[in-house]
Amino acid sequence: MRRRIRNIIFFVLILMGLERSIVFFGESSETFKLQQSIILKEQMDPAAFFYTESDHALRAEKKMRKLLAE
Amino acid sequence: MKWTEDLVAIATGVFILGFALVVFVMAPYASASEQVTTGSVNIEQTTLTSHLHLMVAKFQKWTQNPLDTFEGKNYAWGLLSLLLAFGVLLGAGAAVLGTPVKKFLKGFVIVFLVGLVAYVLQSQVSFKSIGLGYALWAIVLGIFISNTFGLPEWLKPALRHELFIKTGLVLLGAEVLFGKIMAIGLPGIFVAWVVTPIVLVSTFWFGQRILKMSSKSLNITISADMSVCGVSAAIATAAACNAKKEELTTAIGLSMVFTSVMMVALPAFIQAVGMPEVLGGAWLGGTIDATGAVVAAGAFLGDTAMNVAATIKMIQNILIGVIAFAVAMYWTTKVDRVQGKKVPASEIWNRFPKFILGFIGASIFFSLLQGTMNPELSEVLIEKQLFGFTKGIRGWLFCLAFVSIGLSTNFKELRGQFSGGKPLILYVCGQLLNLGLTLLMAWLVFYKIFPEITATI
Repeated sequence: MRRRIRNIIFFVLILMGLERSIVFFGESSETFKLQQSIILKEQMDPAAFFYTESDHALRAEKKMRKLLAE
Repeated sequence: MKWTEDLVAIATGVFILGFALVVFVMAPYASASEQVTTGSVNIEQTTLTSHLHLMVAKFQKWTQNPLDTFEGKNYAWGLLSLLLAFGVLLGAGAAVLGTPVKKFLKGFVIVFLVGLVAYVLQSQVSFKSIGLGYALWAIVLGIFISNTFGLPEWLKPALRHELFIKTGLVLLGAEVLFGKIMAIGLPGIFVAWVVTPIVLVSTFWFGQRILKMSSKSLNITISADMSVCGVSAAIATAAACNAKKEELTTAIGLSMVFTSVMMVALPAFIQAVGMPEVLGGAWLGGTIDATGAVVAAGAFLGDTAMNVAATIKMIQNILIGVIAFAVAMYWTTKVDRVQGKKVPASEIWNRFPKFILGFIGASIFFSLLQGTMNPELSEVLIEKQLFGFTKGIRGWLFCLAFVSIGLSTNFKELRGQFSGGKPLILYVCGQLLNLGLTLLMAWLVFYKIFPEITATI
């Protein structure tokens, strides 16, 4: 039982630590900060792994087709 | 006929796609066609279509309180319906394969709930911003639960990761539309379809001959995941070569970590050296694994870079059907055969992973359908309505598969995959080759061979 409780606490602490380090990097690195602000502003989803999951990718394809057709 | 996991996956996938085709394309087709002639198409949602979209609705972003993710929509109702629908469909599939429905459903509720937590973690603002998606969380949660609490016997009948993955892959096949490969003309094909197979084959060769990796399936899964399009390619290739679940986990873990780093580092480097946007965009699109991360990295450089990057990535995404088919053929005819013995055609057919046929069949059917439809109708009815539903179902199926993989993975076995650091070395060396070749090809095609296309962009 003690091992289980220790593992749960450890897991939650890792999650919190990961989240805090992302926030820290977002505040301390200019590049990271800028990219995070673009992602938030444009409502992007960097976790999307296939093109149909990304509205931006679908829009980009249509823009490219239109540009090349003109 | 003997029902196998592949056949059940094809039947389930075809049922879902057929149902979605009737509800989202055939039913509103007549009124949508009329609207095309009069102006823009606006599809009115029925009670059924609204509910189907609610079942796969994206969760809200949250910062501190995970419950904020369920605000704004009646998610509980949607999720309950989704659980019921999966229970019926996958339960029937499991029953055909010999698992009693009651036993399957008992464990499946837990698998579904862990999957739900994975989606909630994906929606956390910070995690989402660096691309840590449900695939990673589902595996991590599964491993954590099984290695902390153990795996009770009653949960085991629900851990059918192959059935979930293969059904998801049949649905993914429908999204692989071959009409998309000409989106950016010949330069896109050169960057995405010429470099990628070269990198894939070279990395596989490097893994076998130089690193002397003991597992060919781990080697090809990492090679495909790094050279094609990350998680989706890893899933398709691993299923095609029957890779172990720990091998798929390793490939996905590597891809996610490197994608998060490259998404920030690569555009910063491109900007620092003053690389032109089109070249930078093509480089990003050809090298970063996940589409979402490619878009974010491209946007850092500007609109043009983002559009080029996303389009190149999309063309590369289409390649996964071809790669999965080629890997399945290679494994059936070369890797799995007994040395020195000729394999008869019937044996090749017996060993061939049949779900690939469902994947390719769905891709061909929807590519033809899209090609014959009016572009505006195809965008609204197929891309927005139908894919809006099936990509959500497909995502959930992959998520359930990753939970199952995590739950049945022993942490020590997983650690064993990294012995000697070979998977890491393979990924890094393959990615370096990918970076070099993609940059060279992008420069050649966009600036030397087709400069007129670059000027238009």
